Amino acid sequence: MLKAALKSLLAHKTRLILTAISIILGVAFVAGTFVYTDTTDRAFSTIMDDAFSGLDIVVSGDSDFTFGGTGIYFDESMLDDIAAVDGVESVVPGIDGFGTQILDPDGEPIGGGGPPQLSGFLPEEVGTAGGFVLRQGRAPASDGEVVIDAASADTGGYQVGDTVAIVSQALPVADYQLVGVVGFGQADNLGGATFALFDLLTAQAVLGQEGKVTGAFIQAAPDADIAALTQRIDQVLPDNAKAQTAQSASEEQAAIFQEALSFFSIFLLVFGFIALFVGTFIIYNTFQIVIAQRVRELALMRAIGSTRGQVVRAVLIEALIVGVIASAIGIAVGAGLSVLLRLGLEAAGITLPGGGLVIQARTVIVALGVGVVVTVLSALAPALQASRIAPVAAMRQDAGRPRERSLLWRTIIGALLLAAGIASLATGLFADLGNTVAALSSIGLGAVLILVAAYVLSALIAEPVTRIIGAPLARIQGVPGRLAQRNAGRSPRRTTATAAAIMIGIALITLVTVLTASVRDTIDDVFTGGVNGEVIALGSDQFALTGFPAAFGEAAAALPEVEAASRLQFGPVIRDGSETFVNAIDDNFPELFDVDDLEGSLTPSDTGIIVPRAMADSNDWQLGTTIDLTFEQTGTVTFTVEGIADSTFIDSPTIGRAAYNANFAIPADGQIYFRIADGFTVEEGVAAISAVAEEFPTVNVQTLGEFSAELQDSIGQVLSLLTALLGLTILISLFGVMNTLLLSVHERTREIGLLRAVGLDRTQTRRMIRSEASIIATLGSLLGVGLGIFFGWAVVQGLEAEGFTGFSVPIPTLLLWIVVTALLAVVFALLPAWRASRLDVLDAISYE
Amino acid sequence: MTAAAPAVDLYAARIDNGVKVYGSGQAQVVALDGITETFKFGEFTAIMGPSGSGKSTLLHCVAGLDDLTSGTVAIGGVELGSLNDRELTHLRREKVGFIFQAFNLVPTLSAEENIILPLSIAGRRAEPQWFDTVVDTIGLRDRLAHRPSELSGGQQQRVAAARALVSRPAIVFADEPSGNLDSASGNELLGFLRRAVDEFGQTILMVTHDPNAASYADRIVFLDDGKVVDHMTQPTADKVLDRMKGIGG
Repeated sequence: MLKAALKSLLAHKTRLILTAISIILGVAFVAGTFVYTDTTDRAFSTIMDDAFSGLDIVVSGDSDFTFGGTGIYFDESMLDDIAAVDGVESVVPGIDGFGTQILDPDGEPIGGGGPPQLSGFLPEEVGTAGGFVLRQGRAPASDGEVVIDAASADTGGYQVGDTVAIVSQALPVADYQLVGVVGFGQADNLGGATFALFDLLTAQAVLGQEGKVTGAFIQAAPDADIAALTQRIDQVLPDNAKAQTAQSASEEQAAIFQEALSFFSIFLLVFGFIALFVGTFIIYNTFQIVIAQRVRELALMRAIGSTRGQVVRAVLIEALIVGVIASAIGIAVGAGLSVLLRLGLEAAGITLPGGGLVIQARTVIVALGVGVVVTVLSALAPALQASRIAPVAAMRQDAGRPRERSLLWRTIIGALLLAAGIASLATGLFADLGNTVAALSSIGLGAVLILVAAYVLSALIAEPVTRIIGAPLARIQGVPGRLAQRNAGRSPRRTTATAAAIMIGIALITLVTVLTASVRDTIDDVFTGGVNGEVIALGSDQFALTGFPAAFGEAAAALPEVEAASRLQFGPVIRDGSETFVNAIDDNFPELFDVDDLEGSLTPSDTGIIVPRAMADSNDWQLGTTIDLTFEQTGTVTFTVEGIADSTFIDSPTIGRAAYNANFAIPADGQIYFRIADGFTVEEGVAAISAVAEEFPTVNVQTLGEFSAELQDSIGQVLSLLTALLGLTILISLFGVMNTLLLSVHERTREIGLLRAVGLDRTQTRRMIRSEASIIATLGSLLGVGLGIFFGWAVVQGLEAEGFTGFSVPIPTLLLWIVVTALLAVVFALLPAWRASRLDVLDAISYE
Repeated sequence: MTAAAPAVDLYAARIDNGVKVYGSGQAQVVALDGITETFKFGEFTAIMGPSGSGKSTLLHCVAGLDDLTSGTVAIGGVELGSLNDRELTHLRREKVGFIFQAFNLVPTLSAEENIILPLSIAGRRAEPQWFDTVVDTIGLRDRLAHRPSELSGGQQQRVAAARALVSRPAIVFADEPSGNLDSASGNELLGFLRRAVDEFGQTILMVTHDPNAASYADRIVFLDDGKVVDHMTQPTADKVLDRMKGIGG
């Protein structure tokens, strides 16, 4: 049985390769993600182990914040308390924080746009510096000296000895002498973050935390019991600080890093699984066609005494072999992919620690398992179908032709799947499932069910629809076009299985396209409709939530050009156990922003909070309800709901400015909106405010129109990235088109020979096959666009409460996708077309 | 051979000293061993011979579906040896009609579409009168919209015959056209081919091993071991049967 399967596979190498491609790519994505994250994790752990080597105990802030946290600042006196503990040999202070920008020689900030811009204290004992490795020069020894990371030095073209301008949330631009360059382990920086490192006093000044530290690095006396000493130190620390062994600090750092990375890896894994989902259609289809072609052979096996089980096993063994080989190749390709990923990210300025590729047993097991299971499961239905071939089929003339069975069952199953899918989608979108994961799972399941239902049901309409799609080709090309049109519709199951793979990719691309267009519309609505102002000032790195000194806002608001200004602040808090954000507004808020449906007040007291209307409704909050927020710096504070409002800029629980400044370590502003006074043009206003901002390089001043356009651009970039990744699934499905056509050409050898004999020349033969490819692809992309628009509409409906107002379908973009897919399909049909045109006419007409 | 040039137009097709060798060395098979034969306009020729005598090879080579190892073939005055695949295909489309033993029709096209297929491929239209004449002759007017799978075997072969005639080719090649049919359908088809020769002056070259089928022809060429071993004119089934007994044991 194994021998027969192997022979069958080797006899059709092209088929094997094409079937395998979809598995290889899917598995490669999964394996590549694992290899990349494992490699990075290990490298990071190694750096952390090195960083804490020679240390015994580490003191740091004790908070539940992982990403959003900005660090807790303690009074320096904590260090003396620690030093006084019996068994402590030495204490090195630690301080670091966000929002410090290294400027390039043109005065523009280096980095930003996501990864944080950090600063801190670099002790002379560099071994105790949190993973930094001095590459050149030395540690800073006095104020006016700085050490920066190698990537920033490279970007700015800085050498040791140069002067570097640096600005922070607390200090205006100042020049420092570059005395050293550090790497993070072997990497030039850490995931795109920039580092400016100073001596202790300067670091405190830069962060605006004079006399404060964020932690301490401790060496114990040679004979001390580390565990006991850790406990003793912990007792002298403030409540929100903790002591732990260097080992556990290192592990904690690695774990935080791993969690940050897992977001990225989940993102990549999702694409791996989409690729495999697309792959199932291709494998299913291939096996289906292969079995149709081998009906006689299989019937003969049955006639000479093979049992049904043996037939099923023969097919499944073939699938198993394909699955194992393809997955193995996929793992190797995945390892290569992880290297490409690293290089790609480095090219984009995001360097993460690397090293020798780490291929864990888990990677191999999961990748192999997923690849093999997907392949074998996809082949199961065709295998069962093969086992139902009657032995007598071996003797029948028409055995090779697929029998058109009743489509009744197909209709029923399709309708049930569709109903289940819509129900699941609606539940995820509209019902209150309590948590995001449950909602997303329900939406995902619904989408998968609807896609499968669309595939199942599309067989019912494939023939008429391919007729319509092919009509223009039939008109333009004559016979080749007409034959392509008929061929595309002649076996609806095969055509739709091939088209379904394309449908999935296009549906997802359409979904992200529709969603981003809708987000853009929403942004446009917000900034053209919701704000009674013209100009915005914001941190030059709006993604990192690092603000700018309050002094700027005060100076700008006093300008004669400014009629009104409202300052917004944002910061991380923990509410109901999960990390989220709190907004803060000042008293001028109603001056600049539209507020609907207000209940209570818009000027909260120090313990008052305003909540969005939608949130109040779903949480059953009323005026007077109390809400606990946990701040990193000050711990848990209880607020009372003093206002409920519907406003785009009250999209989270919102506190007053005073409360914000009391609870966050750095009372920076996040955004300021300005209305320009009568008698001044917007340009004059921008010029005046920009002049104030000269002193504050972390501030960007723009018109709202510019800002809105910039936001929309950045969303466009996200769209491009997603589209590129989803485009890969289109490529996979195009291999499916190629596969189907190769098999169809093989199956139609005699027919093509006949056509050639009666005068179809090679050019026309190739045109016929290419046109069929474009018709199948267009069927898939039309279905995909339809479903994608539906998914997009559903999501927009589901998010209406979150302030999603626009629903926009960018028709030209979607039409372009349909055209591009059809053209790509033509390219992928070149090989089958070439084969068809090269068929020997004589062989073809005497083909048995 | 230059002297033959002006005379070539008298012939629908001719093969001159045609040799076809398959394989090489030990496995070498000489399928055609120096055949010279002419097929005149308006003549119905049958080629007969035992299995392996080279009769199908002869048909394929004269029809331009296969090329000769040496020698020349011309159809309607055009020598095939000098043509590339495209020119050959266009020649088949313009000057040649085919009727195969089976799988004659494109399953996705209706009977009518199959009939006019060579014309459509060339981007031409059928002459309406001629189309009507052909369709009425084969008697399938009411089946024109049907797909091949909805036609009987005999009807399918008649559609194939109509397709072969509708482009008014210089010559129609028929490879065992009645081989898969019962005798009634077979005779009907052969009678139709006969009428095409008699009434329309069509040239037909048919390969068959059936003496009854061969008896419809004007002339029979007997092949054995790749050589022409005899000719017969005004054949009858009995005469053919007698002659066949003497060939190939």
